[in-house]
Amino acid sequence: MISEQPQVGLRIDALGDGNRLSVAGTLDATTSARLENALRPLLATGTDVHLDLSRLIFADVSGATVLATSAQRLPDGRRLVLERPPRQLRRIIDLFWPEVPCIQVVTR
Amino acid sequence: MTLTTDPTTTRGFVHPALFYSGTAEYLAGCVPFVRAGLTAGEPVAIAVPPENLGVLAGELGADAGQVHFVDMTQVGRNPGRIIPGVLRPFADEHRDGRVRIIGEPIWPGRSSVEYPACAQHEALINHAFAGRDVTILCPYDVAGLAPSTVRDAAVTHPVLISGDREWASDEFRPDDIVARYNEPLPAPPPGAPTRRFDVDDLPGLRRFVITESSRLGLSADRRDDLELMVNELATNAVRHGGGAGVLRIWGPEHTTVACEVESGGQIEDPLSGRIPVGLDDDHGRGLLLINLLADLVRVHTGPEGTTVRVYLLT
Repeated sequence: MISEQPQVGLRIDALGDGNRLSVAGTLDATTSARLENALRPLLATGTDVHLDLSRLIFADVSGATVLATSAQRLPDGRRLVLERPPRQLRRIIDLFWPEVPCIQVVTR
Repeated sequence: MTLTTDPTTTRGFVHPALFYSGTAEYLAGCVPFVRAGLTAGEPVAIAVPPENLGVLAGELGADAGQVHFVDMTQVGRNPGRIIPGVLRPFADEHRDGRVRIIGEPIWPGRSSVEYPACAQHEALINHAFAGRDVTILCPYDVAGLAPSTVRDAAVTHPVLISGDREWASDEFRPDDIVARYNEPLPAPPPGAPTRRFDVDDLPGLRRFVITESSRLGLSADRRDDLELMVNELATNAVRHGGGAGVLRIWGPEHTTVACEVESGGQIEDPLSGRIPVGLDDDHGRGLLLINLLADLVRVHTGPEGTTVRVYLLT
């Protein structure tokens, strides 16, 4: 059986013009380095970076840390836009990076 | 004028315990302390149980508007949350001068399960604020608290106040308290659901926790929080604790669900998880998340291994 949503592991796909990724599956200490590597080349392009997180099942502190520290490496005024993140990821961001301007959470 | 109330001569961290009995002594010990801070232009916060918040706010009258009030039974229900979630954020927000806080983390309703974490918290404040221009006055209700609790306060506070007297504690040895209350945790009930895990089993462990905590009556939001906490503890166990561990979960006891992770490895720094982390730091948030989210955290750590137990209200 092939599952539509991976229960374990992380899947990262480029969407459209390259400053937008889909991140699906599980973002934890075993997978967060892959996301960091995928984000690195996008941080210097001078544009906002969008992540579709609607198919992310779980994200932990290490995953949230990759997102937040990556966002802080964007050029001034640019943002990492987190689209439809799971509730637990929002919880972690609210705890440790509340109202950080380079991180924008879009919930719908 | 004393060390505690005279802002002009004070340097570094000041951490007195105020022994009081009854409202009149409470007000006599706290209100001049607050007013001296306001007169000196210091930011003042009061984090005490709600009935004492009301008494202080009433006595301060119009001055209450300049004071930041928080209910310690809510924000400090977990003693491990008080430094990173209450005291340091207020002090760190006002780094350009002295900050003054009344913190009452131990009240007569604290249970025997909570107390060891309370005493360790009082001891660790001394390290978390070493060298900082901060004054934290800790009232102790000597009429309502156990005599042993009051004796411990003389070990965790370098300065003691009672009535008109203020003196240096000759028993001040806070690290003794950290060590003494690093005690084996009460045994889980026989038959508590148990799962061994290693690095390949983190997703399975998370599913196990969600299933069991649902069965035990945790709300969906708190199940999610527990999953995050267990994930951090298990990640620490597989990285620093010998690659594997054991999780146990049980309850509800006294409207709480308890969940613990036992593994190898020792927590060397007792301030782990108690100090706020900079926005761009790439580590140091695992135990911090647990202290911020749990209703109570108890830890037993040593060369034989570490058990971290979290309690969540149902």
